[in-house]
Amino acid sequence: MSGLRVLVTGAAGLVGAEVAVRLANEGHTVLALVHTRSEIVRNDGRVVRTVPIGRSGPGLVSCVAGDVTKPMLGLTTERYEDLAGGLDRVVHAAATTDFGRRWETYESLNVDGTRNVVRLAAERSVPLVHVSTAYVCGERTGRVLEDELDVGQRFGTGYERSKFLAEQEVRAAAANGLPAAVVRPSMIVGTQTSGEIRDFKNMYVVLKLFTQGRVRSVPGFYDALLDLVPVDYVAALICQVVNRFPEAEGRTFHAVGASPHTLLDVSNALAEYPMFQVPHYVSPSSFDAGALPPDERVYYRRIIAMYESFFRRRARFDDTNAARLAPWRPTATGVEYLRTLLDHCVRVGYLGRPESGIGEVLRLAGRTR
Amino acid sequence: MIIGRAELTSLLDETLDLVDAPPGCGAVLEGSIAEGFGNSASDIDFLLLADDDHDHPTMPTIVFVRGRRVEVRTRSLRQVRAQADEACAHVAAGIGALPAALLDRCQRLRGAVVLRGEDVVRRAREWPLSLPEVVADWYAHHSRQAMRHAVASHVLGEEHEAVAWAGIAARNAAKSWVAARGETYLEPKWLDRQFDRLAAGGDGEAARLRDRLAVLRKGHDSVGGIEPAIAAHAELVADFGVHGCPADADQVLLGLRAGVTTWPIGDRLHVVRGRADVFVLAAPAGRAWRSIAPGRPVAEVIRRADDPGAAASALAEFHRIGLVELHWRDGGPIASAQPWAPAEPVTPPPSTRMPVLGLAGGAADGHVSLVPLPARRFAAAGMAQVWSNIMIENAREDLSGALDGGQREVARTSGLRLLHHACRALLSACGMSPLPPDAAIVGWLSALTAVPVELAAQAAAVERALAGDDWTLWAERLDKLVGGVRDLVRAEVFPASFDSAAAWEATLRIGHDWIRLGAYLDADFPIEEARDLLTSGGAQPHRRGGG
Repeated sequence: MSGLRVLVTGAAGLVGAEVAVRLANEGHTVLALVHTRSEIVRNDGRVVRTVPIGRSGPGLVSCVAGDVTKPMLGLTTERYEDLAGGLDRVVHAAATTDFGRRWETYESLNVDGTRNVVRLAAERSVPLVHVSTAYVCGERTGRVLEDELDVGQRFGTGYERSKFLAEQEVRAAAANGLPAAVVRPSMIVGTQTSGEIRDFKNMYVVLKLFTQGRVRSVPGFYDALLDLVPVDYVAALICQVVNRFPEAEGRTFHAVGASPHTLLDVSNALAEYPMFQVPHYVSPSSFDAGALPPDERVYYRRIIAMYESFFRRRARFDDTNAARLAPWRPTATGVEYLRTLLDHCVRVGYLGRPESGIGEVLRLAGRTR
Repeated sequence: MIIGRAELTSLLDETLDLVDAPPGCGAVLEGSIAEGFGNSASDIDFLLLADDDHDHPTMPTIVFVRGRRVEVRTRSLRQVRAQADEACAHVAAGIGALPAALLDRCQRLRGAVVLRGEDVVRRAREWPLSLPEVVADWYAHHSRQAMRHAVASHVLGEEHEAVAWAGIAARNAAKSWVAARGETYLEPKWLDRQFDRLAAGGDGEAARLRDRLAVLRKGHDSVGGIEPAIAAHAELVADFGVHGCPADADQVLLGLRAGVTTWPIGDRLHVVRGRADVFVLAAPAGRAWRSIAPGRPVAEVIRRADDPGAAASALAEFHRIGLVELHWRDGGPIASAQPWAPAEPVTPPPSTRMPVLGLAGGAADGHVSLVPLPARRFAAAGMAQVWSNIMIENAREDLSGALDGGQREVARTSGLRLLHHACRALLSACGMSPLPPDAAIVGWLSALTAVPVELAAQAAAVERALAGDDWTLWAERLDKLVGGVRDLVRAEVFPASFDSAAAWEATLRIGHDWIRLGAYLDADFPIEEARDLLTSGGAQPHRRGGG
């Protein structure tokens, strides 16, 4: 399928950029909504050539500066109408995925932002592909189905709760006739074959603290499950949902890895690198952050605490819908895939090189935006 | 040839009278005599070629004819074609993996003197490759690897090895050079004769290169020391046409070896190879180990070390025993390059220290020691020891409570539990795993030479005392026994004590270290409760406040 006019929000982000470029490469006209960053950079670091919106066309990406938190995406009425007119699809990838932000930020970016994009799509009945997260399941344990959303779950982070509320906005609009599909990636990491990743955020920051020995014990279980999904698969699945929207409409797709990794896998993979320190997992019921050495306590409270619930979760994501639609499926599993990811981190100097201190780590964690 | 054709034919006839030869087979003389070398001690090597597809045994038949030792092999045409196909497949996939024995068989057949059945022999020799090219490339590969090994050894300060590898590199390069000129016989000992033959044929370069090789063979003093010797060897290797191995230290990089993992226990590093062997590193070697990062130049790592000499020597040891790889920049791993020698890393003899392990694992002599237990048993014994020590503390509290309360039978039970766990701690330190049942455990102490006689006697005396009614001395005797056990273990490997909360916390942290290793190896936990306790972050059973 080709020739669609597609608006991609959050097009400067990790997933948004990759989706925008792939759609353009497939022959679609891509209107890329960006906020503060005017450059679109692919996962492999290549800067994407863009054209002014007046010259947009099939196979091209045009950047539009906007702000999803504002009504009409922060655009003038004329610009808004220009942008919205003739759209065939909207891919809503704009969100903050950082952990540890104030609730107001999540609410503004992730909930209000979604509401504004939903309004744009609903006004014109443009099919919406909403990029959510598999962790709208919160701290649920066991098998999580794609069509489940609100089962009374508890949320481990404000990020999850905000994405849950955003999905509720999409569902409510869909109930009122908006054609919509939802893609829920789990933890997005490097590509399946090379481990390459543009942004070292979230779990990558945790890995840095672990391997530098700045955090020596964390509350968690060896059999806790982390679902890591290659960024290239996530982008490919979203593009497929765009292209085959009539089949995808009304469905939710878990964009997840071939199989979840246990914390034991992580421990074993880290042990393959002589220069890495590896933390202990201590039973959460008896973990006492106050008993940590002072330096470690600072790292724990300011960073690790944000991710703490992930070290005890045991969710398994069913991805029946995604398996039916996806152009390919992740196959990399276990320690071998972790090794691919870690090798890339070492190769580019992200791991195995000390940072100067907590300020630098927080910067990497995206806390000093 | 040192033996005339008529005599060879006659020798073959006499030999065939002594062995079962396939009817209509071809026959060739192969090996050093056929190649124009050999001496009075050389064997006569006949190869019989059967025009069939049977699997003839690889082993030769040995007979003695006219006082000479004669080896007779038989191969079917199918077998020699299979050999040729296998060699071709190796050449296509990367010549480095072509086994010496296989290439040797292929070469010998093609360099052989035909004695009968020319048609069968011609068909047996069909091969799509150029033998001189294959042998030259093969020796060039091994020369390049050996020269890289020499440069790497020099960077690591292993000068004797460096010179030895450089010599091997030069000789392999020379073999490559002569092979490219038709002297394809693989056997290294005839290299000089191969040069002589080329020189006698008018190849002036052969004579000059032979003489340069001869100078280097006289040793590094002849060229002014180790470093000039390495450089001179590298230069000669290049002049023989083998490239990609200059004497440049910055080309040698560190690389990780698959299946090698790092496990700190307390402050001591243990390295597990292939989930089977456990190596314990002394503190300076541990620091060198932590400095290993894939892709970093070895020279840089050594330069930055607090003690460059110790770091270099430790890294050399890690490489020898296969814990780490050395890579040539853009050239892959530096592999062992002696074609007829095993390529696997060496394994040192296991440590003879006793006890085998303490709470902090094994102990190193020199840089690295191999723990004399399989990895899983090592992890299981370590976890059992931590658990036993925790249970000793627990039983001691119960004993105190019972004594304070005047509860003799409770005290007896607690005392026995304490005794048994003290024995378990001792036996697991000696590497015993699984441990014997409590009913037999005291007796085991006296049966093991690893356990000091006085300690075994002390345990037996405590057991007798616990069976009697004089309970006033139970606590004192048990404390003395535990002190003896811990002295024995601690004296070798563990300097801390259990006398303070901090030491107790350290013990629990070490427990977590053992669990990480045990989980990796899927080792047996002492009991499931041990896993729970050791992952509970310091909560001691029956004690409030976690320790």
